[in-house]
Amino acid sequence: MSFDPTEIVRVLEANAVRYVLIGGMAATIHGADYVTGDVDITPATDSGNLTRLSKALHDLDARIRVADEPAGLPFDPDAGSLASVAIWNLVTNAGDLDISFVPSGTRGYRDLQRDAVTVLIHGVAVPVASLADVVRSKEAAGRDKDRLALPMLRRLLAESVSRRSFRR
Amino acid sequence: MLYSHEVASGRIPNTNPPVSASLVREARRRAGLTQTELATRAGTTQSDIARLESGRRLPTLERVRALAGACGFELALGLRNQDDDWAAVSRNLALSVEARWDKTVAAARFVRTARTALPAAASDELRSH
Repeated sequence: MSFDPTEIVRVLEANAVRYVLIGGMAATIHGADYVTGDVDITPATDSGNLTRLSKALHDLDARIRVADEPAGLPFDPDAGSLASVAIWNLVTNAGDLDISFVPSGTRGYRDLQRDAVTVLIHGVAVPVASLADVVRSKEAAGRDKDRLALPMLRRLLAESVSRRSFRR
Repeated sequence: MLYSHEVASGRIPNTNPPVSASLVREARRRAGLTQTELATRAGTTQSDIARLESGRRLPTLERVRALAGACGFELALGLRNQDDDWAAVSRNLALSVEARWDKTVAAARFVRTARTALPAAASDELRSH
């Protein structure tokens, strides 16, 4: 299974899923030097969007990611079951996908969407959380990897260069 | 205004605990220990661990290292040159957004390939980056 995040966001767009890209991929879009191996998103939680997300996950052949089963466990959620779990760690046919409805330090989709910027990646419009929100979330999560990256992310934020640097 | 002695006394909860507090709490939780169990291992009391984890007591570096050791972890400290980090960021900022995305994907694929190709010990080292 190859890591192809472009395919993940393409399928999300094809299914008209409203979401915001967060985490490491969002940080790197803002210019951070950050190694990540998955796509993190925060979707809108209205039932229509969750139904579309469910369809997208089906298209991506999403399965539940577990340590001792590389192919993952069977997963066929409807909108209701998607909403019943705060964080889904999934493996898809295009790589790992983490869904977090309320990332640490945030209040979820509406909170993140407010300052998100949309960038075009290989023809796909990708809504990306603002760098300030990425930093806020990583500060709250407090994981080792995040802690190491935070000085660089804070400097990037302080110098406010990322948004001006967007070139397509 | 928040006064440090009020936090220290426990009258006001410390919502931004120091790094030492976070490290002790994270080590204990990762080890699956209760505060009492860690206290027993470290030869102290549960209330002492609670004060350390709340930030009401600031431990020395040696104490944090000892408590991490009691949880089965080695405390790794080092100095990173922030200018080196920033040089990499500057290179990224010179790229288009799409190129940054592609660079991240390439790095992720490299790490994934290396993980499957390398012995477990080396793979663990990659995983930490």
